[in-house]
Amino acid sequence: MIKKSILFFFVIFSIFVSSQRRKQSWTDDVRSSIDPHVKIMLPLGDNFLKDSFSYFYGFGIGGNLNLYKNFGIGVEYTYFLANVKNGDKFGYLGAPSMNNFDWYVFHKNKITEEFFVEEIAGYSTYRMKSPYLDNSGKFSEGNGGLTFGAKAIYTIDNEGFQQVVFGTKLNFYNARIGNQNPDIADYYSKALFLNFSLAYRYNF
Amino acid sequence: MKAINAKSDSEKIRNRYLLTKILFFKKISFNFTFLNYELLKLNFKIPAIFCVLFLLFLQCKDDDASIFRAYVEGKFTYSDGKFLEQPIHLVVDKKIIAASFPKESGSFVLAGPYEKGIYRLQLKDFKIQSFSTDTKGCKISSDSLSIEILDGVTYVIFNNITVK
Repeated sequence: MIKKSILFFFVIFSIFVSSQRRKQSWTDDVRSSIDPHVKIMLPLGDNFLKDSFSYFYGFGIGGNLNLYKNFGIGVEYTYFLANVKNGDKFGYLGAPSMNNFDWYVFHKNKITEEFFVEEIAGYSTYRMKSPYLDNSGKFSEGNGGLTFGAKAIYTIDNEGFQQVVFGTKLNFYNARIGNQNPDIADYYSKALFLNFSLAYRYNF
Repeated sequence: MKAINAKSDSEKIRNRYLLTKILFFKKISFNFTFLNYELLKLNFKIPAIFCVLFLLFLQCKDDDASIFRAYVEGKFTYSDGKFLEQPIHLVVDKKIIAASFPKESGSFVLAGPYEKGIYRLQLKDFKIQSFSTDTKGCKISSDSLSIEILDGVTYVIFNNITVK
């Protein structure tokens, strides 16, 4: 009877220890961070964004959640503005504002104790609003596309709470603007953005 | 005496058994408190994960494909140089969707957001004498200041528009 209870005890104990180890490491990997940022976004290729604007500039906030080992998920919101360079092909519209969300999965590489590199793959959504020049409301366009990028992260305090992040990203812009000529439809619907960001990150 | 000893022996065994029992339950209860602590830690982190996932699904919204850009391209033949100083427009229901100036060669591009309805290529003062295009349904308006373009036509090339 005592032998049995000791055996039972041992089984419970081993389960407890193994489960403890697993749980501990799982939650130890979970870390979150928040980072306000500024961004500059350059349109590339042959499209109306390239011809109408020279660049977008914006600010926003992002959040990252490290889930397992060095992998995690994150989201960034950015509010962009741009000046109209040449409005011929843009329409009778004023300077646009853009709401942009980036959703991504990241993988973090440790280079040294203070220096990290993150690779990013995800999906971006865009909503660009431009006011009609005769004040008759706003024209809204945009949709979404894939995004790839990398971030260089440098830790600025001893405890590792505060970091400076420099990032570059390629964002694919896809809208669904129709035209009888497919080339023109593509000209207004497809673009590529090169994206530079500078952020202050706080880990907790 | 013997009987008492025997009793105490059986008591000892019972006591030892009780002790293992107590230890066992203590272990279990510790197990539970540990789990509670783990849950507390998770309680903070799991909502954070769900918040992010919730936002993800909230944000997914598609455009309906009813937004177009009307694109009109062409060339003017003009005699008066003042023609170049006036803007030309695309107009839907008195609402301007595009504006630009013709170049010196007379060529022009007009493009603007468009949903539906008849729209027109509008000039300000100069009257249109004639035009040529492959697109069907275009006609000069009664005041000769504009060319009407049919509903649903989003791409028009005017090979030549002659103004007075």
